[in-house]
Amino acid sequence: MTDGEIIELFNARSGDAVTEASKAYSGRLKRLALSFLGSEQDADEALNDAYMKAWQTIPPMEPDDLFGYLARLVRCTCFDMLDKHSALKRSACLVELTNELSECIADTSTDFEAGELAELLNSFLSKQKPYKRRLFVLRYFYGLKISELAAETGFSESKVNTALSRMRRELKDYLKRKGVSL
Amino acid sequence: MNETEILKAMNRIDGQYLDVRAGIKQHPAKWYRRPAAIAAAVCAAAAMTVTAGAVYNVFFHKESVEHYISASDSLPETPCLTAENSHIRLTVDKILYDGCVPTLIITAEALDEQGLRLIAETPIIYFSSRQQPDPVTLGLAGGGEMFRDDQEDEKIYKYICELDSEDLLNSGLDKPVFLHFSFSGEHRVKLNEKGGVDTSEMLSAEVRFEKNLETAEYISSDGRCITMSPIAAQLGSGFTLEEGENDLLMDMQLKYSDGSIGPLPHSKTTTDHLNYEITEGVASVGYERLFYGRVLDISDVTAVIVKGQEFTRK
Repeated sequence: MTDGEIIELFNARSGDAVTEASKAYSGRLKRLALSFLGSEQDADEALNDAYMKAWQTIPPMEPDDLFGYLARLVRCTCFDMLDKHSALKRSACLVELTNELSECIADTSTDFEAGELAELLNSFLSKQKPYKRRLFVLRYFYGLKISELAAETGFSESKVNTALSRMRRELKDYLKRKGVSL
Repeated sequence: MNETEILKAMNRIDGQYLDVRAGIKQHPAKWYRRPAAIAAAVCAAAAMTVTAGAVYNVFFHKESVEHYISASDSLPETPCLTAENSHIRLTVDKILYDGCVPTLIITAEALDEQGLRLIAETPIIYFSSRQQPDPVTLGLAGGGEMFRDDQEDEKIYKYICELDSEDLLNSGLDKPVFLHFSFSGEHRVKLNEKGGVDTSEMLSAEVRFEKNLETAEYISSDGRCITMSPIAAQLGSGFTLEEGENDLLMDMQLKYSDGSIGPLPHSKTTTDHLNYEITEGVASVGYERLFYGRVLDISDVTAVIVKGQEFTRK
């Protein structure tokens, strides 16, 4: 079933909407949830919450990329769960991702709005060549491992590492130039 | 603010960036393709035995160095290293290091019929060192970029190789590094009993990288930097390319001590990899690098000009 057909089911408030979305994407979405959460049970819970949010928001939302939309919901749910339940186990992948992104931080002394940081990230990503942007999103949004990125893109793992390392360096420089102290 | 907040902020990036279904357009490197005939020959290849270590020898290929860097007589003398087995002789003709990216000129020669089949494909490079004892791949064309022009002689292939790998650079270049060249294709890499890469059937050379090229930094009024050596120029961070603009390095102008201005020379061989799909709008092109194709006397270059902005020598 295509994304358009699944969204039609949501619009029609059909009970098959979530079933079909799950059939199409649950494997990848669960894998995304496991990038951030340390257990299958927590990942299943995150998926269920995300499907519920999708049901509540489509319509009026009509995403062009259903998987991307659901992935965003899963991600938000994962972070909500981690924030609310400090005892929840973080995945090894999440620890790795945060360790990498710590390279982008010049100064931890200043707080600012999450929206401002998101705008800066969007601006930074808009200036990247498509292949670099894709690598960055696949790594830091979808949580793919380096080996998975290499398999996905056809680049060697070393090239993936090098490209991401340079992008983190550029992001740090970019944020400094914009006068943002993190 | 901490790193988790950056990760969370990714939740709010533009939806168009989340659609990663479109493939990445890779640069047009012939050596990615594996013709069926070659693949069959690779699969049928007998196990190679490798002579131990690398030795100094007289197999220096001046023509290989000149092929990629003309006027190369002024380049520093470096050890000529060879490793061979019954099918292939591999020679590292020149080892150059400008403090940014190590560069090698390499010649692969077929010693028999099987060697002809094996060297028809660009080898995969691995490296290991005391700090990195488990061999790490430098890949086909990433991290360790091996460039090869079209060449008429099927018995001998010349390469220029940039080892621009974070893994390699982070392992520390002040100690010797072992480079292992696999001609049997990445899918045929054997694993040892610990699950690591088995390099016993690869051609290996112990290489020392010492900075042997002078460099000069050229700085703009806004603090951006371009580093030049006699063989290559490299951008620092903060450089962008607008849609429709030519590549910054290829359009760069050099200002000489006599006041004259001329273009930056560049080698077609290694600039093909700069020909990526241009992004919509503006692209960041920080840390990109360009070979001149010849030796450049940078002592005579007082400034470089990029998009009309002058970068003066530090």
